[in-house]
Amino acid sequence: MNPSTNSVEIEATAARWFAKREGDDWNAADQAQLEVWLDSSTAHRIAFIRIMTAWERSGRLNALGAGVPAGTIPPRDAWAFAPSSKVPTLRTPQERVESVAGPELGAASPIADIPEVRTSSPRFLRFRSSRDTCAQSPYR
Amino acid sequence: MITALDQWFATEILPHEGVLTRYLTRVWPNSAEVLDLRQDIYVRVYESARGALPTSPKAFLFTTARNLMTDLVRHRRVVFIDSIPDYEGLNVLIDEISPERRLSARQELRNLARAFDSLSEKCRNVVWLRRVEGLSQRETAQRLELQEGAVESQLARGVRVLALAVFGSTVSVDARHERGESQHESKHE
Repeated sequence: MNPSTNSVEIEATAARWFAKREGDDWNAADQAQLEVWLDSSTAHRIAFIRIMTAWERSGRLNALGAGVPAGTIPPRDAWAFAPSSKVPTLRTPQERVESVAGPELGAASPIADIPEVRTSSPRFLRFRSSRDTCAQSPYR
Repeated sequence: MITALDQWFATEILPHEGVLTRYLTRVWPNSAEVLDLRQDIYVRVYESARGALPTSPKAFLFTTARNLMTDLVRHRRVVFIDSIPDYEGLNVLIDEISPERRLSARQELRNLARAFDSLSEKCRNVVWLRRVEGLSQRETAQRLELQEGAVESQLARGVRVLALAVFGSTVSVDARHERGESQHESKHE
């Protein structure tokens, strides 16, 4: 007995469904197919929830957009902290245990000047439903 | 379509993904199996929660993980000496080995920014226009002079990388790497 072997594949499929659902042509037929896929396996459902949640929480990236003129895609490493695999310039201890967002965004922070953009909390996930009611072509 | 149970899973179980993944990597002998193992654990947790929601989701998650690993080992016909899970690790109280580390808002943003910067140019542009500027997929396609299908596939790719940052599960990056998938080089802790 081994663990199942398809988690990466399922995640990829969930991500494709997610992206498809974000598209402008999403319709009731697509939705129906998605539901079939979701209902066919708990692993599918979980993978989809996970991707949706990740996208939702990625809304925090909006904070990076503050001060960037609309229509401009900033270059890499344009942020005030070190790029990948370098020691971050943050002055706070890395391993600190924190439960609440906010107060530490204070004086010493190199990104303190980036205003917090309040995005929806994961507790109030918004799963788009407005488009769940149109109609057309099947997925793939 | 999204049920209360789905919401529960998203808010009570998924936030522990980073800790869970590190834990599995530590105790399970075959790191290539960690993502599949995690999936099986999630499925078990989700299905058990259909009856009644566990009062302590985190403890329930890790107990389920331990039980599943034990079951797997028991049913393996051949157990090679180097494929025996670290039982000592298995028996350690979860709270001792993995105190809950909720990322601060800033750490989370930093991780996201790194993951975002690790995306390919095309993918990064798509994610920016969709997520930050809020353009529709079609508008994004026009803006970047791409087919909508290309925008869609870049978005699908991007969200998977962002998920690693959001859930703090760097280990799965390594596992993906082994499988020859795209990876990003974010170090979370």
